[in-house]
Amino acid sequence: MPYLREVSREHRTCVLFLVDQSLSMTDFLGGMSKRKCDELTAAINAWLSNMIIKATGPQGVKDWMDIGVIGYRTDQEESPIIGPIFKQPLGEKNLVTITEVAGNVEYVPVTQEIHDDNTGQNIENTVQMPVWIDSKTVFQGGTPMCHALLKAHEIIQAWLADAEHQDSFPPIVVHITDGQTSDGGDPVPYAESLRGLATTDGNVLLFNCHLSETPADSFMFPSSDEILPDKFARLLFKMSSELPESIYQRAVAAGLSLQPGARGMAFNADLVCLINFLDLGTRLR
Amino acid sequence: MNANLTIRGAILLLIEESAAMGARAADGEKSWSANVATAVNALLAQLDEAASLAVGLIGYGAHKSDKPDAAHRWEGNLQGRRWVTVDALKQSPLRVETRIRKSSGMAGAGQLPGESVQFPIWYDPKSVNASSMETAFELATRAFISDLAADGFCLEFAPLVLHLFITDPPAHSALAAVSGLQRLQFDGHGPLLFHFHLAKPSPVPSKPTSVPLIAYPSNRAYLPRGAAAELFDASIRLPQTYAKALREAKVNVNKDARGMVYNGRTVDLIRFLSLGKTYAQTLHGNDRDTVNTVGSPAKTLAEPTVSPVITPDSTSTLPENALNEGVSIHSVGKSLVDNADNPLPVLLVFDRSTETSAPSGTKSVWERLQDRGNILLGQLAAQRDIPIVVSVLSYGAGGGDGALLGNRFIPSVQLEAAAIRIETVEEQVSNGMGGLLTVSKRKPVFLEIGSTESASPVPAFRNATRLLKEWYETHPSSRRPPIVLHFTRGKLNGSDVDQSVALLADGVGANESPLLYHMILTESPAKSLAYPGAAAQFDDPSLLKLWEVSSPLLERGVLMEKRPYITDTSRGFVVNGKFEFLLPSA
Repeated sequence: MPYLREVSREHRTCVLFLVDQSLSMTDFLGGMSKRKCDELTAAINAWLSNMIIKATGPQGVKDWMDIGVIGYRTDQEESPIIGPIFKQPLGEKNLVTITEVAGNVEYVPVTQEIHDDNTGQNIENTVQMPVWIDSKTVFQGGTPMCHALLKAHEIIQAWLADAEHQDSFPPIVVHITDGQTSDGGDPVPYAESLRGLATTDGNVLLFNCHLSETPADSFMFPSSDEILPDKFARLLFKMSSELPESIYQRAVAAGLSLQPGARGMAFNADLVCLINFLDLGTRLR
Repeated sequence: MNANLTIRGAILLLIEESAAMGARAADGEKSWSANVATAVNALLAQLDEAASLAVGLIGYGAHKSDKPDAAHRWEGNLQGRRWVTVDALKQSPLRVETRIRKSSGMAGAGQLPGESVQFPIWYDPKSVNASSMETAFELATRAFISDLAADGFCLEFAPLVLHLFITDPPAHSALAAVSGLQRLQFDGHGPLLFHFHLAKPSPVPSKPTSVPLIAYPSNRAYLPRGAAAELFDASIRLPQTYAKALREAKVNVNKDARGMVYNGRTVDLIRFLSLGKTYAQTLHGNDRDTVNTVGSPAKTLAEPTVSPVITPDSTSTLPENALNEGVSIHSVGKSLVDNADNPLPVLLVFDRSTETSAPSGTKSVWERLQDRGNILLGQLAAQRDIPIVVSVLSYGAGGGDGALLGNRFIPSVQLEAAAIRIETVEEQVSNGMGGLLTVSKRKPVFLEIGSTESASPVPAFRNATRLLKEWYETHPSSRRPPIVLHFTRGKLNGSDVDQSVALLADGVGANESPLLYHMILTESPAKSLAYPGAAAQFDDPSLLKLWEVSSPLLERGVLMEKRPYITDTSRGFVVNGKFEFLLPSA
């Protein structure tokens, strides 16, 4: 039965984020007052922080994961620009170890405003937030999704070529976008090719999350495309891997009502949906 | 016993003992009869021995034959007695059991720790055959008229009667059943009669009951017709002392709340019975004025009033044709707005129809629309930016039976007081740093109505027009055009839509025509749309029809700058999403 391998130093795994950096990502998320790009970078920074905490033991950070955050957009000539969007020096490589992530953190002050229901007051609280992906990251141009999936294929294939990774829990690719591909191709074959890569423990998992700027109803981990509202949603469904049993059970334990055959996909995700998707889709332990 | 013992007060427990009490309690695994017995024994154990109080316990059910009967239920050394003092009670329990009381603290895995306690029993669970509320109250009335004196007691203040039952009485009989007791006067004051109706269990044992709780309601208009509304008529207003005690126990109690709970769970029963302790504590005070609050409803308590039984024929606030045409007119209260505020009238119209059953574990389209309606009404209740008045209509085949009755507009600042209940829900919100917090939020429930088959919206829009005309006639200085937001699943007959719109367009008395917006949730999957500005965005002709009759979105020129999906041709129209921009800015 696949997807049973425990993630450990001996059998490290890989999580690769593919991030849409198109101009439309500067629109507000789900009818809210913050931009999609800002909420997404905050969500990924928080995910990285949580992963480091989970990996930290008495002897320091356990090196059980390789991580990549690859952004994709186009330039003014509509040529794809695809590459890591980590702050330097992490941005030199497509994949970095979790130990390297832990060792290269910058803290920025962030002021939270919290509403107190009991008193009706708003309370300001300034915290130091760990940041690996800059809020100044460029979001411009179009959405060369097919090129991005091809790049992901290259990165994962190279990772799998390492004999030490062949028996690991398969890599997870988390793709976050707010729109359809603009590079003229059909992303489904690229997605299928990426999902065709495998370790002895199973095929690469490709999870897709669509962000909406309208306050539309969200869908998370659907088990059938019949309930999805349009062609683009059904396309993402086709591109997405079915949730492995271990992740499925953890999502159910977290209170989600899932049906067998649920896929790693979210559509019209708002902020809460996005954060839950990132957490549950990569909950390996 | 002292033949002339003056006692300050008396508590009478009146408990149904029919077969229905053998059903599993709504929120647990034991039967209601067992839970009620435990709760009653716990109350009796907590009464202060020093309290100048007599206690009576009447159970009603068909014990001896199929014929319902009622009798005093003291057993053991107290058998044959009707009224007993607390002191005598404490000396003669039926038995004392050792029970484990759960407490918070360290424990083994999966278990709450417990400590052994001695639990005195005076009342054992019973569930026999038929019961009759009328028979029970006849005996209760006799218990006060003759038994108290015969037992040598002289009562100083009005007694407390706590009635626990599960079987709804026959229609229109509750008031008659209690009337004899309510007519009794104790030094000029009637008894404090509080009712607790036990919730029926959910058909699925592992799932909690989905029947709504109605706890201490303050307005009959917001109750579903039938047993709950009749129980309201048979209840009195909660005196301040009891309302305060409930609020301290974190129970939401509005002004003019009645001493009744309908479809209560065990946790609600415990809080309800604690009113017995409140009564006893009040009697214990030496301050006569404080004590008088119990027996002097005229001073600090509302006069116990009993509303006339309202039959369908006597709902004179509804237009005669409304019930016939299946229209429910909802209001959330009386109009109290100062004309000078020039508030904006907002009218919500709900299509309660469903065509297909929802898959198991999911909500029907009406349930989802109702949820959106409750959320929006909660937002309207909380907003303070602009003065608005709100009214609600719903329509569906088979007659109107809405949770709300009446036909007025209410200021939004008073909306929350009109909620059926306020639930506390846990919600995930952003922590502002890419993570989530779970917070508890208060969620008022205003609508809780069943779905129906399809019906024409025309009668509802006729009534909408009438409501709005009346508003403008009685508020001549108010000229802001109203907003009508139609919640629907979007499957309406085209000519019905045209007719409905024509009614509104005929004029309601405002300076401009009403703004008609639509909030649509579809039964089958459909693309989400937010304030679309062009017909080309539509695949579904029914939705296109509704869009064509929708008004342009207010302030779209300003909103365009913040929301790229809003254009200068956007209309007030949302499909499968949230309606964020209902009100204009302040």
